[in-house]
Amino acid sequence: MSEEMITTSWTLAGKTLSSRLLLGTARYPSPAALAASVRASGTGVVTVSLRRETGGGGDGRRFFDFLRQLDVAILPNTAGCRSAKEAVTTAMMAREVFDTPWIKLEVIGDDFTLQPDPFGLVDAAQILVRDGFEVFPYMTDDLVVAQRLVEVGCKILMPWGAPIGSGRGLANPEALRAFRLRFPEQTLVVDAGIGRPSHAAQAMELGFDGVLLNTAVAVAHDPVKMAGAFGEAVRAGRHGFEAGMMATRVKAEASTPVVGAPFRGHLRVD
Amino acid sequence: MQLIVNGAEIPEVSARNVAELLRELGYVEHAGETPPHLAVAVNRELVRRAEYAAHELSADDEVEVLAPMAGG
Repeated sequence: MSEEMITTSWTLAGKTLSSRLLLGTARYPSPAALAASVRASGTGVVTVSLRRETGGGGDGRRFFDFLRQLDVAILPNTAGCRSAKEAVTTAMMAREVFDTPWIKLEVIGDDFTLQPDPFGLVDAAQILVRDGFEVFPYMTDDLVVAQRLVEVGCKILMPWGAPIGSGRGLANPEALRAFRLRFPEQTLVVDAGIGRPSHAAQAMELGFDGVLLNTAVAVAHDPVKMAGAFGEAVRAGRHGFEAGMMATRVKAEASTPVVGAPFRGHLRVD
Repeated sequence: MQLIVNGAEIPEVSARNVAELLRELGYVEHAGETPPHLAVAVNRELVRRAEYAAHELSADDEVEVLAPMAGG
């Protein structure tokens, strides 16, 4: 089977994509490294933020022009917001700049873990969905919070693997397994905590629709090579999930057929 | 009047609206320009580009001028 035959596209919030990897744009050693990493990863979606711009400064304009050259979909975030109100206003400002209804909704509730505030998250999601946004909520793996987000109209849920930037991978894979089973109709993306390509593959093997990561690529010794590795890991994990994985067992079972094995007794031929 | 722009107190601003403020602070060369990479909020409410000239400012208004930046 050729690679083309087994590489299947998918739809994220109405957009057809060939890669299930979503990539952040922060902390790269240079814009050139970021651009090359985006290309090497194969991603069709990058996350960005909004920050204060000084008068006469051109940083924001330069980055705006740079993003347009990448020719990928933009998923703006509300990173750093500490209340529903801040997040809603930031989302509306992001829509003004990027001309997209997509918003990665972050409402931070704890500075040590950057754990999202579930109450502010649901409040903000409800307001934004009603205003026509496609909300990508960054959340924990709490099933009740997820249910509330679905009830206010979220079609996409993005539980963390582990705290942002920790690189610990899937801290609670069984919770994520339950998450997938509990929300079979929603688009599920593991967001945050991914440190290694194997972590991304594991998330995909669990049946998640995509993986969003940033730091693991950006701070790698070779970000471009790591971006490619993550692209391959996400694809491999997805293929593994689609192919149907064997059940685990306690007892060993020989893979080589026993029939015909030499030196193991004999049949008497009379 | 005094305004708070991006968290900093700016005394003696003469601009009467958002369009004039962006010119006065050097974000644009001419009042009326609406750079696509900027978004403005006044007192934590979005001011759309089409409303820059019409949105009048008052003393001690809190203005945020944001632009794209790398993010995760």
